[in-house]
Amino acid sequence: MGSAEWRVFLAGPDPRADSGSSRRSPAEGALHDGRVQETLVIVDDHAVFRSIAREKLEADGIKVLGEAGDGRSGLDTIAELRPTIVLVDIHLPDIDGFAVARLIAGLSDPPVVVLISSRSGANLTRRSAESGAAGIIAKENLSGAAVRILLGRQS
Amino acid sequence: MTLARVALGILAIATAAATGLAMASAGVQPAFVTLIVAASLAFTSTGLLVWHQRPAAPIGPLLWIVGMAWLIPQWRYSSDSIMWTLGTWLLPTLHQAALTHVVFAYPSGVIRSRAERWVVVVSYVTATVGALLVAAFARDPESLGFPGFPRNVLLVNPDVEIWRALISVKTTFELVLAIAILALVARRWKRSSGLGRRRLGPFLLGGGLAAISFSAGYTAVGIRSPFLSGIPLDYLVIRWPIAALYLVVPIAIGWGLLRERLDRAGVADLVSTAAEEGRGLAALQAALRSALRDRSLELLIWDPTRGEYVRLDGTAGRIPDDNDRRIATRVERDGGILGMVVHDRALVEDEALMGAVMASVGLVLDNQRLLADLGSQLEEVRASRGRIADAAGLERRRIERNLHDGAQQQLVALSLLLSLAADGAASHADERLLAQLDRARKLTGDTLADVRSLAHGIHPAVLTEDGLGAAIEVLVQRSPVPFEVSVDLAERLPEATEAAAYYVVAEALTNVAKYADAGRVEVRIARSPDGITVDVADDGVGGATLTGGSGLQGLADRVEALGGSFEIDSPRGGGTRLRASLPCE
Repeated sequence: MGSAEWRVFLAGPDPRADSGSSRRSPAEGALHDGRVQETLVIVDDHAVFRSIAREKLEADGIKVLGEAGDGRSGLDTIAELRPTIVLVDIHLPDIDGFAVARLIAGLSDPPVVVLISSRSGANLTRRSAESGAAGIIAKENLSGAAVRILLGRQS
Repeated sequence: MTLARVALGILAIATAAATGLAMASAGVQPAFVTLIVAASLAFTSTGLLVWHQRPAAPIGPLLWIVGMAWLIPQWRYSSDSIMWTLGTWLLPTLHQAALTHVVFAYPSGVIRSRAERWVVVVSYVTATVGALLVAAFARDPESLGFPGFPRNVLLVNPDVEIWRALISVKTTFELVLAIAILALVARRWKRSSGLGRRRLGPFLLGGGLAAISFSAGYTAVGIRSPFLSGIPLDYLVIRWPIAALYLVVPIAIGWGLLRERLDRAGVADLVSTAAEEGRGLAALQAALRSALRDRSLELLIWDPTRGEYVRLDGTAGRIPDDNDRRIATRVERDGGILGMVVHDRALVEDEALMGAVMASVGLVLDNQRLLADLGSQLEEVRASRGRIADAAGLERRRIERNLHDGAQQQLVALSLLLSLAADGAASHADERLLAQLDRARKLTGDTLADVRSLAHGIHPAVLTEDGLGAAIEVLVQRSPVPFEVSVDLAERLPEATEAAAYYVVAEALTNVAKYADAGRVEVRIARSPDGITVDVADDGVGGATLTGGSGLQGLADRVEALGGSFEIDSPRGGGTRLRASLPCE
C-alpha cells in the first residue's frame, strides 16, 4: 500500500522530527508552566502494541493512566481513571473504535479521543471526524508529538 | 399372403360373375342381379383390403366370407341339384351368421362379451344345423307341381308337418336372434363414447341393421314360402332394401377405416404439436382429450418419490378397477412406466390408435423427464458453483484477517518499538545507531506496506467494513487513469455481490490502465429490480475479448457463479463497455 490515501489520514509528523523534539518536550515545559499534565488511557486489543505504545508515549511526556483490551472495559477504565486523552483502536473485538468515540463524546466533560489504526481505509479520516474524535493516527506513527498535533487541532 | 389374397379376389369375382350369369339366364331382373353382384364384390373387396391392413384380425377374411355367402341363396336359380339344394335349403342364411360375427368381432376380431359370443354361435348353428334339419324334410319342387326343377339332394322325409314345425322353430330362433342382435348393438353403442362411438357408428348401424333386416325378411319369406302358398309378393319387395343394405355395409366399413386413419394422423399431429411447443403436460392432456374425443381423459404421471400416480394438479390419481367404465393404459418407455392415461373403455378397441397415442405420449413424457433431469442437474451444478465461489470468498477474507491480526499487527508494534529505540539513540547522541534504527524502521514500514498491499489484494478489508462505495473510492484514488464514479446504492449488499462488483471494477480498471490507452473511464453502479448492474466504460482502443487472457474470463466466471450475467462490447477503436448484472438474494 503506502499510497496517497494512507498518507492522507496520517496526522502524525515525521518520526525523526518527533524523536528530535522529545528532548525538549513541550508537555514537560507546560508542566513547569503550571498546565495540567496530559493523562491517557489506551484502548487496544493487541497487548504487545499497548505496552510499546505506553512506553513510547510516556517517553514523549504523556502520562498513561491505564489500558483496556476492548471497547466496554475501555469505557469503564475511562470512567474510573478520568484521563484527558483516550487512544482508541478502530478495530476492537466488541464495539468498533468509532462507536467508542461517539459514546465518549456523549459523556459529561469528555476526554479527547484519538483514534489509531493499523489498516488503511478511504474514509477513515471522514468517519473519525464524524465520530467526534480529534483525529486518527496510523499506529506505526504513534508518538506524543502526533497526539499533541491532534490536540492542538481540537482546541 | 398377398398371392393368397389375389387368388381369393379372383375366386370372388369369378363366383360373383357365374352367379350373376346364372341369375340373368334364369330371368331375374338385370338391376337386381347387378345389385346382388355389386354387394358381393363390395364385401369381398373390402374384406381383402381390411385383411391387408390388419392381417392379425380375422375381420378381413370374415368380410370376404360374408361376400361369398351372400351369393349362395342365388344358387337357387341353378339347374344343378347340389347347387340348388345349397342355395335353397342348406346355406341360404350363412351370410347372415357371418355378418353377425363380423359385427360383434369388429374391430379387434375378438368377441368380448359372452352374450355376443352366444348370439354369434346360435346364428351359425341356426344357419347350418337348423338349415340342414329343415332341408331334410323339404319336399322336391317336382312333387309340388314344378316340373324340371332340380331335386333336394338332402331330402330324408318329405313330411310337411315336421318340415313346417322345423321352419317355425327356425324362424322363431331367427326372430329371437334379431332382437338379441338389436339389443346387443344398442348396448355396445350405449357403452361407447367419443371416438369409440364414432368408430363403431357406421359399422354397427350398417351391420346391425342388415343382420336384423335379413332376419326379419327371411322370417317373412319363410312364412310365405313359395312352396307353402305360391309366389310371395313380399319377398320380391323386401329383397331390394336388403340387397341395398348389403351394399351399404362394406362402404360404411371402408369409410370407418378411412376415418380411423385420419384420426390416427390427427392424434399424432396433436401430440407432437403439444410436445414440440413444450407447453407442458396440461397441453398434452388437452391434445389427447380433443384427439380422442374423451373430455374426461386424464393423464397421470408416475412420481417415484411419492410412489404413486399423480394428477397434473399434484393430487393422487386413482387407477380405475376392472368394473369401472374407464380404463387406465400404461405409458411405457424403455421398459419403465412413466404414467397412465385414464380413458374411456371403448377406446381400447382401437388398438392401433391407442398404440400410436401411447407411443407419442411416452415420447413426450420421456422428453419431459429428461428435461427435468437436465434442469435439476444444471441447478445442482449452478448451486455448487455458487457454493465454491462463496467458500473461496470466505477463505480470502479469512486469510486477509489472519494477515491483519498477525503479521501486520506485529510489524506495527515493531515499527513503533524501533521508533522508541531511535528516541533512545537520539538521546544518547549515538548517530550511527540512530541511522541504523531509522533504516530498520523504514524497512519495517516498507514490509508493512507490502503486507497491507498483499492483504488488500486478497480481500479489501474496506469492502467488508465500509461497503462497495468506499472500496470503489479507494480504487479511484489509486487509478492512474482519471475516472468518474457514480455509485447509487442506499444500503449494503450481500458480501458476495459486493465482492464481485468490486472485482469487476478493479479488474476493468487494471485492464484500462494496461491496454486501453484511455483518457477517461466511467464507472456506474446502480440498483436493478433484482440486484445491481455494474457498468465500466472507457474511450480507449477497444478490441477486448473474454479469451484474450485479460482476466475478463475470470470476471465473467465470478459473475456467473453468483447467477449474474456478464457482457462485453468492445469494438476495435470504439472503447470498451463492460456490464455485469449481479443478483442480490
